[in-house]
Amino acid sequence: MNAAQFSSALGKVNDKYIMEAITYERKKKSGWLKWGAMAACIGLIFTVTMAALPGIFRGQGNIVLPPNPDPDVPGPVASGDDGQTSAEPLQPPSEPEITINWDGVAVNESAGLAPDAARLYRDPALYNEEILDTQGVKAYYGWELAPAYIPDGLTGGGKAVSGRIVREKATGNVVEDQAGRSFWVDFWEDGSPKSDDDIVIPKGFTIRASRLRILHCCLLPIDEERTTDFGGVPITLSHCSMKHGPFDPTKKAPDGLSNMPAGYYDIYTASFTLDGVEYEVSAQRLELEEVIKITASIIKPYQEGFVVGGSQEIPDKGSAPAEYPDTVIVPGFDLDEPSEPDAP
Amino acid sequence: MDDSAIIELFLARSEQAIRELDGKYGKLCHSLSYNILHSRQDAEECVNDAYLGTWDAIPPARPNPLLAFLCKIVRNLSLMRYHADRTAKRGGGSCAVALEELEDCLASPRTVEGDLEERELVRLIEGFLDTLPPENRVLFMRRYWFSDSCGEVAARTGLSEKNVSVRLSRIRKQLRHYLEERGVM
Repeated sequence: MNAAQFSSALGKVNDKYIMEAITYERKKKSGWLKWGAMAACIGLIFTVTMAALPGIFRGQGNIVLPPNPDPDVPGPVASGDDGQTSAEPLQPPSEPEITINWDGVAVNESAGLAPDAARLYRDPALYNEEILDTQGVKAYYGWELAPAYIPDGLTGGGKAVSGRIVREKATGNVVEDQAGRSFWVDFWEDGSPKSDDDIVIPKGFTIRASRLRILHCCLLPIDEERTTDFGGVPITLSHCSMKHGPFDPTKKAPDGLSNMPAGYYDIYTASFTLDGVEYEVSAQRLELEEVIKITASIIKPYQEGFVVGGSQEIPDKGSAPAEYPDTVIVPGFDLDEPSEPDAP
Repeated sequence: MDDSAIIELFLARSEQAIRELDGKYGKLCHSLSYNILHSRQDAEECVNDAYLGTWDAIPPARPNPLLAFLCKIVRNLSLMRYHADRTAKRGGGSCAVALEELEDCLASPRTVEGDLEERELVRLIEGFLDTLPPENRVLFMRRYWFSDSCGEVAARTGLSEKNVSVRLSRIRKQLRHYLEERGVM
């Protein structure tokens, strides 16, 4: 058999094949499918970003204060209709009411960023994924992840807080839940964080939350972690100094491995559990004082101002204060002695 | 005018049937013939011959669908003209390329010569076509029945030309495997 014989036989196939080839019309992808696929990609990017780079969440310019119906009870409570809403981010009031002693704060030094763990694949046949919008986050977590205190110059940008919930179809149980909100000094047109100076690393912070407590601090601790008691809530503060570019290929960094960085910047994280929800505040290029203020305003969403200050320097790793001369004036909020690590 | 009305004109031996046929399917027939012959004049002649063949066939035939019937006549006449031209050292075109592509997945004439009747081969080809997804089946038919170029197939199916080429390559491989399994190769 040669090609001509095959072609001759092909010419005698049933008319239905010929008509199909004549009348075939290409299928146009529906708009829903196209945009649905894009939305799925965006959702995937969002969730991967949550797991890999917690510092890029963005919040909404329209800030809603965490509800605090009972000033004596620390922590946000599900808000009612009386929740305050402001078009501008809240700024710290000028009247200081709180002084926190630096020596009372335990900061865990970190060796660096933890590598991103492989995400679990959730078979769509077995699990339902739900992307939470602002209202969804509020319903699930009780507030919109907007702290009462936001450092001067930071805004939530144009995008809403968002989150992701994965439920097991068979039982309806939630097996994954994370939500996040970020505040940055500036934003690109696409909504991603943007630096406002020569250092490419943008300045800002992110709040992440999980009722299942599946968050993992992005910083690898060097030693056993110590916590600081904020009004009865143990806070794990971690710090890491990170290199930033541009890197000079003609010079070696002090470690002898990488090229000489243009400089270093600080990453702080504050991890804690409040009302059954695990939170993590991750800040980059912010002072520790700001991170403490943000964290304190989540635990105790003051309607009035406070200041973190004092005469002490940031304690070295492992240092324990002998006394706390400046630890006072914390209405309804005591900064207690840092907890000692558990005995092995 | 729908096909049944045109056939009625043929049955009534009205020359209007030819005009209606040309008006409705002339462009498609010319395209099919031109793909094989790459000569507008030859294609024109083949299409006219096909109209004449249709005139001779109806009656007694009442083809349904009329278009497939007409296309088969056009294709057969065009291939006959093509082979005649090739014999006369004239012609070329995409049909030759298409057939050359097929030769790679077919055995030489010596291996199965005389062992397979054409209708059995037709049955096998139809069986193979049934194994293909509709889109791939259309790709195969457009390329090897209508002798469309890959670019034309791409434009028709909304795929890229490269994608069409790759898919056709896979289909040819499947065809070879299909025929080998049935002892045709």
